[in-house]
Amino acid sequence: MRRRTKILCWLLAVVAVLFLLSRFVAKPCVIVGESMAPTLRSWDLCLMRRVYHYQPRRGDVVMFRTADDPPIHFIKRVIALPGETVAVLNGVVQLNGAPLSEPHDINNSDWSLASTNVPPDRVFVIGDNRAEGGTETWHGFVATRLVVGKLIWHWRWKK
Amino acid sequence: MKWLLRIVVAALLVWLLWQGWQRFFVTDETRIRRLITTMASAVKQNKILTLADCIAGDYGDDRGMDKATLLGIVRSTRSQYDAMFIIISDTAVEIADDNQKAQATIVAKVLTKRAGGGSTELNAERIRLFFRKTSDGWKMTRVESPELKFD
Repeated sequence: MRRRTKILCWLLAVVAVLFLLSRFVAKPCVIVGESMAPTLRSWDLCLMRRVYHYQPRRGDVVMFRTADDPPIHFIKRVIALPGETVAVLNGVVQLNGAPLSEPHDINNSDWSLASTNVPPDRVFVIGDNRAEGGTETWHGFVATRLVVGKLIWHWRWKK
Repeated sequence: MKWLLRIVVAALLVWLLWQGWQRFFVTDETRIRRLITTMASAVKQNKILTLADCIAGDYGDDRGMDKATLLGIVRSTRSQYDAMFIIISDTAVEIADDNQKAQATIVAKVLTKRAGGGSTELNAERIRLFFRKTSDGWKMTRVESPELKFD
């Protein structure tokens, strides 16, 4: 009986620690959709580090929420930082007037955006999947306060 | 005979207690949550009649669909998939002051497997549902897909 109680206490402690870790330190999540392919694909398992005051950095893969409740979470890549000028010409991202060097071969000519300043406290994010033309991949400006996580690890279990 | 009578009386008591519980303790919010679950289950199992029973006759949505069009689209969409699994989460229900109208905002995650051994897809969408109380219980009158806000 005493052994059972001990095991139960340990199990409860492990569950409590995992809960607290996922709540405050790093949250596991499963990717839905192909907007971040080839970096992240549907069903990939990700670990997102919790972010409380996001310091924008280009190239970060971030998770952000919608401003209203109940929130929906998205994962995209930060392309432009506050104060920078971003434009998309024939699918090529231009940053402060110069083409942005990116690790993607595909440029979707359907994508276009007139030269726009990134407002303070905002970042410009888009998905890595440039082959897709939908609004799912193409995103836009997101308030930095809505960024809730940063990708630290991912695992593709379904090839 | 005595036992049969006892069983009938017990069943009647249970039924009366259940009705009383429903009448006095089940709130409108609970009823709406149940209705949402019923609708999700009906779509999942392709039970169009059950779904039709949950929708008001004067249904209209932000895509210009009426009840018949909506049911037709649900049926044709459902037939494209071998399997469908719907997870409803983050449900927030608001009842109007007059207790005759209500709206619920939900996040629906839909996992589908295309017919003929096709690919598995997972989609998530936030939806706002509007309800009206009728003599036959709560019915859904409208569906909206609210614009997402990022500022």
